Amino acid sequence: MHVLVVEDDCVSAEILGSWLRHFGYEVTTADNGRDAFELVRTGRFRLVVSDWEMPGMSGVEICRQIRGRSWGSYIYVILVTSFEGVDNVVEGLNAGADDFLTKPLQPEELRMRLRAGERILSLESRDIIIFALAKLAESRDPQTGAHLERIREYCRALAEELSHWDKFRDVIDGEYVQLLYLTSPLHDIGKVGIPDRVLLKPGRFTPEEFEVMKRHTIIGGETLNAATQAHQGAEFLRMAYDIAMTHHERFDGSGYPRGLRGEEIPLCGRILALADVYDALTTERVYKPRFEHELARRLILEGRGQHFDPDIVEAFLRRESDFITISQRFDVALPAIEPANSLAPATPANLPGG
Amino acid sequence: MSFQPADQLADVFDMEDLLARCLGNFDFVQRVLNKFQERCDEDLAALEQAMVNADTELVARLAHRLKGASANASALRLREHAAAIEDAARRRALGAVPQRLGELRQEWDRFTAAVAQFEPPAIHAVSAS
Repeated sequence: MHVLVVEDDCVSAEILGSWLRHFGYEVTTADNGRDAFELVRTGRFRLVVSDWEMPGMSGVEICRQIRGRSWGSYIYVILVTSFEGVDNVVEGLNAGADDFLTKPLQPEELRMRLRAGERILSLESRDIIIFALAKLAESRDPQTGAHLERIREYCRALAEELSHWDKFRDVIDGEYVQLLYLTSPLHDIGKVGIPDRVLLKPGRFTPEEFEVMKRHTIIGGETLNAATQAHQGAEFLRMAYDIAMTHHERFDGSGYPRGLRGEEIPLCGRILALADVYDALTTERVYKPRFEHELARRLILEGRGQHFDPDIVEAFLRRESDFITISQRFDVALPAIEPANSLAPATPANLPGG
Repeated sequence: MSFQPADQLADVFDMEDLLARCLGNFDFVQRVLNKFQERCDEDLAALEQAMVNADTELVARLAHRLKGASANASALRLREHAAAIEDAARRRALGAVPQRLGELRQEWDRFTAAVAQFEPPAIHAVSAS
């Protein structure tokens, strides 16, 4: 990885540069903030180690400039300071610094702090790749617009609500919410294995076609399970598997693929079931018009205890305004739909989980 | 010149500390000391001039940079003098600075004399890059 060192003191620059090269990094050095910012703008650097106090643009100002713009990816900034005291740390954090090093510098400390930075950056890469994978799978069925963007927001709202309940306090923490946000877009990844004649069919499925369509849960689940076996420690893959496999299960046991009921269905699958149906109801699909929120709400309430976990329905009701806001925020125009001869009305069989 | 054992140089800079931060590489130590001398020669002269001009902001900035560079070169007494000057300048209390500046200059002369004696033993040199 390429590190940008910003240091007006040539002694520090010499030491930092030598250490970083010794640790295996590529190093570019700038001796002032303005040159540094121009280098950041090239997009070549995701790790910046900058001195705090420099004439012209200070390290804190570089941080502010970096955080004030959108970049293709996150830029991790470590400030080097000979200042001491909480006030300075707070000022640096406010400006957007990720970490601090105090002079005199120690090589092992620098190495560890850079590793921490790389871990953060790798998580971002992971998140982007997961979402890109989900979007790729979704690209075969482009009629759903910003479905994935909405789904993860709905899931987050539900999980955040449930995390405050005594019943779920020990299950849903911040990491759970984040993992759900990260992995929920993968719920339909198995659709890559569904033939176009079924996936893109504008009308009602025949029983045989519906059986084919149901297989997307198993295809997605098996794919993610294979990845889970290869990477045992990857908790997000376990959740992604549960979501792909169980988001069409129903609380009363009438869902698919395995007919799980109640709490046999993983919590993430129960959350996703409601989010997925709400999104299908409130957006236009080739087989149905867009329903207003009130109608979607009514249909979800009718499914309480049958299709949906009553707790999740209750969480939905408590976060209703969030759902409306999310729905409007991602309300994008759908691509033109080719005229179809027989657009079927919305039916349970057409809806997710139907 | 022959190599000075660390304890003889310890009076002006902490050789053990510097060597550790230079990953045990004496060539690296030499490079750092050379850079330090180049920079501090200039900064010390500029600091003395800034003091003549009573430019407190410049005094603070140069003293701050000297402090950081001294710390990196493990020249702890130089660092202390520079820190005291920076502190006084930031408080806009330049009264005690001339004396400190004199001490800093003396310490600098001792430092450069000691460093001139320093010659890395080839046997200890290992690749650091």
